[in-house]
Amino acid sequence: MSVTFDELLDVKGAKCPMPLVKSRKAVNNLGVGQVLKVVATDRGSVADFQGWAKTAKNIELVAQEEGADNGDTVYVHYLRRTK
Amino acid sequence: MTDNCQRLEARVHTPLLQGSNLVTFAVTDKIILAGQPEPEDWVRLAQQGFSLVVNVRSDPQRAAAQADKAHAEGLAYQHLTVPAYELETAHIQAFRDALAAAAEGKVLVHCRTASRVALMWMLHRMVNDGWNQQQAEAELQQAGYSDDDMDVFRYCTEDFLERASMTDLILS
Repeated sequence: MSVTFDELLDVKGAKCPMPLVKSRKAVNNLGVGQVLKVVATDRGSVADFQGWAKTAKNIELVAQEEGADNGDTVYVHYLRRTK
Repeated sequence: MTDNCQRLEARVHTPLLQGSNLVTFAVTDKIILAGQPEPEDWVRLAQQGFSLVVNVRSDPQRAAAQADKAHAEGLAYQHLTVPAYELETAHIQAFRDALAAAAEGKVLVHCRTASRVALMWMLHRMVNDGWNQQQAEAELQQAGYSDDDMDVFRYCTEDFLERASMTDLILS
């Protein structure tokens, strides 16, 4: 899947809850409607971002995908700022 | 043996829940921070002196299933849903209230990897107990958290304090 995005946040190696906190900060710097692509290595980030999208008032989880980066599994999340 | 090795040994070789692989960190004699318990851990918790389990993971279905298992073993259970991406003072006060529900016995406070609960415990010490950040960090390091873990907690604490300070400014 290829999703168009406006900003990229690399949080590979970051432990919970750092990917969420850094993503929240990055989303706040987006314009409404823009998309943030987050690349993480924390497996738990998949559920964490789903949980965030359910409770946050200003984001939509557009897509999630799994990939590989230098032998590591990476978890990619696309977040759109909605307000 | 270096300090780092001692901390590693504490984390890997000193299971606080006997017979279990549960990741655990004792911050006090009574409060144990932990990762996700396995299904077979509930009976162990009851047998080994725990009276209360506090879950700060967000999934309500998992929490409901866990509550059933905990209650079946005679354990009290609290599910505290907090946004890890944006902790606020009210969440830390709710954390204190959840811990206050403990009767006699030990309290297991868990998330998925024992990281989020450590951050909450650190903020609890600072917000509710009046500790300074250095004291709160030292307690977690003493419990066995690594330097990498501490970097995460410092970053997230700084974020918390920035937003708390902005809230104070708005309310004042």
